[in-house]
Amino acid sequence: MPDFLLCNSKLTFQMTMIPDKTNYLTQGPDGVKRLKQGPDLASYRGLSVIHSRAFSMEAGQQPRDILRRRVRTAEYYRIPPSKANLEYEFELYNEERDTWFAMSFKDLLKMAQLGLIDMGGDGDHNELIHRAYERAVRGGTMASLEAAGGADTLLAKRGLGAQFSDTRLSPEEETELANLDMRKNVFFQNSDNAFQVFIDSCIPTARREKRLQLLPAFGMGLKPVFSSRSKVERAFCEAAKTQMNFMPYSQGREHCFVMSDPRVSASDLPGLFRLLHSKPLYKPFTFGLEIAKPGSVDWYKAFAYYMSVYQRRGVCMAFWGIDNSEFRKPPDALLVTLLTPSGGTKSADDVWTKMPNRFDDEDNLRLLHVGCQWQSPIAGYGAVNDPFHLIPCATDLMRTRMSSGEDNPVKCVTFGGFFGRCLLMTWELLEPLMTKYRTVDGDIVTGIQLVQQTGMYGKPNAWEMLAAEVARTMRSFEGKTTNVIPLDEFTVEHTRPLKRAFEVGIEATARALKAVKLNAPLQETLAEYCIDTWPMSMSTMSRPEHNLSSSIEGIRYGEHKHTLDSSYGHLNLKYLRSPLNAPNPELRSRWQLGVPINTVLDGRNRSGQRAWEDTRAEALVDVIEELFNTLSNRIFQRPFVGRPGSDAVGIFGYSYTNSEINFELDQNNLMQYKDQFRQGPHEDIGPNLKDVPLMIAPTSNDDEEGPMIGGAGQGVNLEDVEIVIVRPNIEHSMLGIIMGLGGNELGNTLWGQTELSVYDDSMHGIWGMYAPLHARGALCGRPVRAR
Amino acid sequence: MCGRSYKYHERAIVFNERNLIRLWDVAYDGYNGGKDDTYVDWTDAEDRQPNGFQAFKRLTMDTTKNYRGPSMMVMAFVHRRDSHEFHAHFRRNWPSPIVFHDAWQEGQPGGERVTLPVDCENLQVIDAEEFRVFNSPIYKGYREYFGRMPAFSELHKMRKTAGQSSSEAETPGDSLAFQGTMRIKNRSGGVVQEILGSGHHGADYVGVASVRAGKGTKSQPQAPSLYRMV
Repeated sequence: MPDFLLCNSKLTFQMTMIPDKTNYLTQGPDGVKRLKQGPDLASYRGLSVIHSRAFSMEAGQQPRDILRRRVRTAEYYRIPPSKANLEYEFELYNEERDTWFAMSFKDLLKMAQLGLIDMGGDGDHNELIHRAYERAVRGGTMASLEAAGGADTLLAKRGLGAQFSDTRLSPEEETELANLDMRKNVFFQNSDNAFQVFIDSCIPTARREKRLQLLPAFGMGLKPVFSSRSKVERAFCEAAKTQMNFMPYSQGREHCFVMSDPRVSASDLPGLFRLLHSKPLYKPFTFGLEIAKPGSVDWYKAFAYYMSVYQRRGVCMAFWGIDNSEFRKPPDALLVTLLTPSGGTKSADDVWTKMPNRFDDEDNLRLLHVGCQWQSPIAGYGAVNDPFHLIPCATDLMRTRMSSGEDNPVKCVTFGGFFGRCLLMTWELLEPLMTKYRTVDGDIVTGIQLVQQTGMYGKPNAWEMLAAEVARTMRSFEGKTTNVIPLDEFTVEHTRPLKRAFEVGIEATARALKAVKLNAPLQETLAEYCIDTWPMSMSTMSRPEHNLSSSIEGIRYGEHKHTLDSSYGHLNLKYLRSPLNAPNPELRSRWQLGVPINTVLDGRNRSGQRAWEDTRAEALVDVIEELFNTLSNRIFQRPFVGRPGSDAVGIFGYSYTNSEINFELDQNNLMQYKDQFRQGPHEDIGPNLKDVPLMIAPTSNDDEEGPMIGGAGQGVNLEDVEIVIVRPNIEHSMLGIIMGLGGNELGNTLWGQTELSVYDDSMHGIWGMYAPLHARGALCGRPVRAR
Repeated sequence: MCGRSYKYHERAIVFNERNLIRLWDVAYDGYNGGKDDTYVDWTDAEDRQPNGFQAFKRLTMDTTKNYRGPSMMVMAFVHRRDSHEFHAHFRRNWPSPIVFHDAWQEGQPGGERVTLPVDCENLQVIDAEEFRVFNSPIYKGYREYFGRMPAFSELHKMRKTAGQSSSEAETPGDSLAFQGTMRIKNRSGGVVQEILGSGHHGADYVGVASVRAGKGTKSQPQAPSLYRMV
């Protein structure tokens, strides 16, 4: 029978039936110490417990308990091939967090991807796994497609977007079509109206028994109806009746009827998906004619992107192509073609030459990057990061340089204006600016309005912080005379100090005015004021990229995620940076680059000083005032728009009630703003679609019914996929024990070569003896002690 | 008081080893790593990611530190279920443990038999042939993953005895994997199937981390009640 147990003290936790008192709450530091050391258990079921100790094993190393060691074990989890796998989630245990986590079959397939590296095995396997993943992605994106409505319900509820027919027109449809043809003249008096051109193009197409593929474009709130059951046309008429306020607006900008509702509801997505699922899509965030084939991962990304764009902005999801010689389109591409009426070319080319971000392909087919579509021509109210608010790219130098010259009224004339146009407005920056206050008069205003209304730029001491930040920024430009400022880097650098300065300054102003700060969540305030921080909120694309990719964007995100808190994670850096190396400077989006500082600041500001040299207090107040005005314009005003080749410049005003937001062209401000134009260029703001009617290219039945082109998932049946997960390095620290029968039965302690002194301590009554031993001599048991 | 210092030599000796037994790994004393939700990125050949397979190899082979690398090796295999090969070789149920690091190559007839030590002292070497699962033509794709794995078999075969690894602070590895705990749920959250783990440390459940941390008790998912602790 063993009579002792040698073990680590912590192991005795598992022996005692009485839990030790280790809680810090009740035991204080002693509890923690006890938890670390373990219970002081003297015996266990008749065994004397000997607590092992940590010994110093190597010089300079921590002492170690040799009854404690690390051990790795391995576990496997297998998911045999089954049809149901796609429907399931698989949960494994996470010991680090003591909880379960779930993975879908798609997740697992992604984790099993091998990339393109061939390690000498079955090279086809990599491709197979990739295709399986793509198929899983495709299946997962629209899992409930079959259960959802068909394409003929597409957007019908709101009377938006497009509709197509796959049969010869029925008499009812003929009647409805005629109705539509007639009514278009009722609602759209202007015969140049894009809607009329649109309808005119649809009717003959329909009558030729062609399928009419209309892109879900324009957010127009109108479409021809060819189904006897469809109420689209009626719905449009009703909508037009009840929302006449958009008519003046639409007369100028037919392609963008601003509706308060989202343009695509979730229930519409399956229909859109069905409509488009066999169509190649241009890849977003890439310049050039890169096409995502149906079924590929890129296609689903593109689809998600376009839908998101469409929901938000109601703009068309395709390239615009202009060809002055004859109508043409790239094969297999969704196109909206810009054609002039009756084949005329009067203003299309004019528009085109003014269009930023254009590029020409080999066939001289001029196309626009899709990214321009949601940004450029129809910046929405409160689109604070619309490129027309921002400093344009390097090609627009002439319109951005600060100058007080009379011949260049559209330039940045102050440093504040320049500064205010170099920042991407993140949620952090908007937070202090959009904090709500109740004034003593009972009005509810935002922080920036409070400051603007009172003009307290230099009065409270707290504004010194903002002045210091502005001065610091100005000085920082001094050494960057040749560099181009990327907007995102500029934002990263200046958002946090600006936010702090705004917070302090605005709160000081509020105190001075006895305004009460209201506790309203930022998101609600942004929604209430229709502030669109795109692309900051465009997270569906950017977030996975940041988390999972090995891209430089992911690294940059990691570097800066604490700098800008949540917003930076939503910056779509991939998009912002993608054409950075484009050979043609015209390809560089306004999003990509700011301007070389030296070319901007080589002029003189109002006081006649170079911008960064003039940091006197009174000059800084001017700068701050202009900064606030610029930011305020970005928040509360639409960007200026204008007609190419024309001096007409307009700004769209708005009226706000409790129930709706109405937009209308502020005719009174047209010329007034022209003279005070500080916001941005007006020559190249985009096409005036009144002069460039849109026509949607119909596709033939064959095109419509075409099979999935190059479906990357072809040949792989997900039912045939087996998943094996192995966790090979599950590592724990483990404790061991030594158990035995002590005393002579086991062995003993050998003492040898002992030298003892003999001594006599009469005071304590102890005496000793000198006991030299021979080399071979040994004593067993305890050391000799005598009294 | 008169006295002198004295010196002595001592050494514990065991005369009767039958009265002494050493038992290794009888109790947990803390979780180090390897059982979280991170996965090995098989595509990261350039070693840019902390979960790339190059980093995975490096961290696995470093047995002198606590393991902090990615946990899961996820492998996918596309079968042709109507093929003769599949019917001939597919096994619905796998043994536990399995040999998860198998150098078998297609065309290798019987191949070299896999033998692995299984005890702490590396005394008992078993024939692990029955635990092999990837030595089959339907798992051709395994070669691709195998090429990206650390040399688990070698780690296993070369591992030190428990006493040595303890005194030298090295972590012994394993190339045998037991069935782990997995729950399969449908989209509405219902548990379709629960496979309980076997082998090294039994089934997983919420609270078992406390046990494996060496506290000896399962933490209760509830607020602490003071009367029991004071």
